[in-house]
Amino acid sequence: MNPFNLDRELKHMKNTDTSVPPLVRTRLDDTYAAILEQTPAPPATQQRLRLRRYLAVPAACAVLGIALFTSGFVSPIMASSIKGVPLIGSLFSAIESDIGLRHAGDAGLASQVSSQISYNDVTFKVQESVFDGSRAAFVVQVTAPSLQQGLYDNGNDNVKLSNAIDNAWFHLKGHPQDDDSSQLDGLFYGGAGEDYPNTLVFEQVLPSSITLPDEFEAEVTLTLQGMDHEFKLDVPFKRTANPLIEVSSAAKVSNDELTTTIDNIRLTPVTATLDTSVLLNGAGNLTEREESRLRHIGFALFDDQGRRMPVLHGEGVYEGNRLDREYRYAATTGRSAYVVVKPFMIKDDFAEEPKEEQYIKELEMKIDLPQPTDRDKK
Amino acid sequence: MNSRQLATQAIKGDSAAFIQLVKEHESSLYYMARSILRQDADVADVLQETILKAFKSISALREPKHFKTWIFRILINECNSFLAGRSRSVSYADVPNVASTPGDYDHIDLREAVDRLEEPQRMVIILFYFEDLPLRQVAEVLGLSESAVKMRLSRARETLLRNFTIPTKGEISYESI
Repeated sequence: MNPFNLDRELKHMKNTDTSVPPLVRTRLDDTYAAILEQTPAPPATQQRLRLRRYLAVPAACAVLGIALFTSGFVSPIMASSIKGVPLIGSLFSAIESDIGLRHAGDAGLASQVSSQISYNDVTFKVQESVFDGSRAAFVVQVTAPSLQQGLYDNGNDNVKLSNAIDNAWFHLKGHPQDDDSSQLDGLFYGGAGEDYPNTLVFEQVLPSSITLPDEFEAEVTLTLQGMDHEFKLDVPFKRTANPLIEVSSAAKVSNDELTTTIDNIRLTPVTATLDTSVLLNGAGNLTEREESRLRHIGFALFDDQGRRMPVLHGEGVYEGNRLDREYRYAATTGRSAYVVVKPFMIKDDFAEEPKEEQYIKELEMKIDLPQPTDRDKK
Repeated sequence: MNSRQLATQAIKGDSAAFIQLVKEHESSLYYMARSILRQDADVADVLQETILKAFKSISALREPKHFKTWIFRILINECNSFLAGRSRSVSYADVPNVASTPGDYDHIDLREAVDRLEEPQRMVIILFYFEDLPLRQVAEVLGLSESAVKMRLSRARETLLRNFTIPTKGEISYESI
């Protein structure tokens, strides 16, 4: 097809002939009924609305204010004094769901940060950041008159602070704004735990295609429900955790159907990265069904104490009869003498906790890791 | 009443006009949400929230003619929030089946090929070609600059052309939000 024909064909295509399936149709009709119920003249009959995740949101309001902005790491002296307060410690230490970030907090790998932005009495303050080359995480404390104990009053309803964030973007500073590579997808955020109800933890998994210096700044844009304003935070990152181990393993195991390979392992105290490959024996180019088959093989990673590392992220490329994938895991604490890679059949999603029967035992691999050097011992 | 008149009425609080207006865009909204979320159950959730959110904030819409851009932006934000809420549990089954093997492209039509594009490229194609939104509005919906939209469109066209002529390999991508 030549470019002109492609352009013409695309212009002739419309979505209006897309039929809405019954499941969606029912929900749409329920929604319309609910809207009519909210009007002053209620309908004669009432229908129940199935609200699985509904959050009430107020009308966007125009607000006036002055944005205040400061940025940068705090001085080493100040950082030291902050760290010296024993009851505070690192907020990363409080994160329950990510053992890697928790360890970063415990091991003093978090950088103290002083960067904040305020607008109309709402302040986002970055307190700490962690960068290990694989991911960048930061902690943000939010203060607002309408925020009490983690519940934010958006004008219509009290919602959890993490639900009150309408949108978040992570932009690498120093790249042109219209450079696609500078705007990274996949900024994850969530609450910092019960003890820090007004604090959020953000985490950006960094694509391996991007090489970042040991120090860099990101511009993070946040929008908050009920406010017609974009908060732009400058977040500095400093690499504090270098790869402890990088192993080219080429470990390969096969069964009748599949061959799995681990090409490379990189471990920092925060993140483990695994380059994997799964190949369909005897296949040529993969059919769609075969692609699906390979896509449903996951890789669980365990340390030498049998602790499974939670999966954070993965991306892959089909090449001929195989699927090459890079996985990122939250690293467990301590220096492992070896890791065990256990391929498994995915039932729900690649980050699930597999049941025993899901593992493909004949494809398990144990990979010895080098012993630490003195430099690594911190 | 045309779309603009319906939007004007809806802004004034006419819920019947609002519903009629949303119904005009139902298929488009469904198609966009489906292309991002892939699962109809998730699409139903997000469409519901989008419509309720739009209804609650329609009074803030200043320009009736921008209703479509505005509701698409809400929809995409809702999709992103939904995926963020789902966090790291993005299913392999949910992964867009993007470009695969040469043989596959012998049997698919252009719409399927668009479906197989990576999400950033797919979204600009849908908004610009299928929804006839001008570049500026596509940029507004996606929160990008116009030049970034142009770049994505160009890459999407290149991908489509390449996949119809010399397909070599495909990619999948799944990640935390």
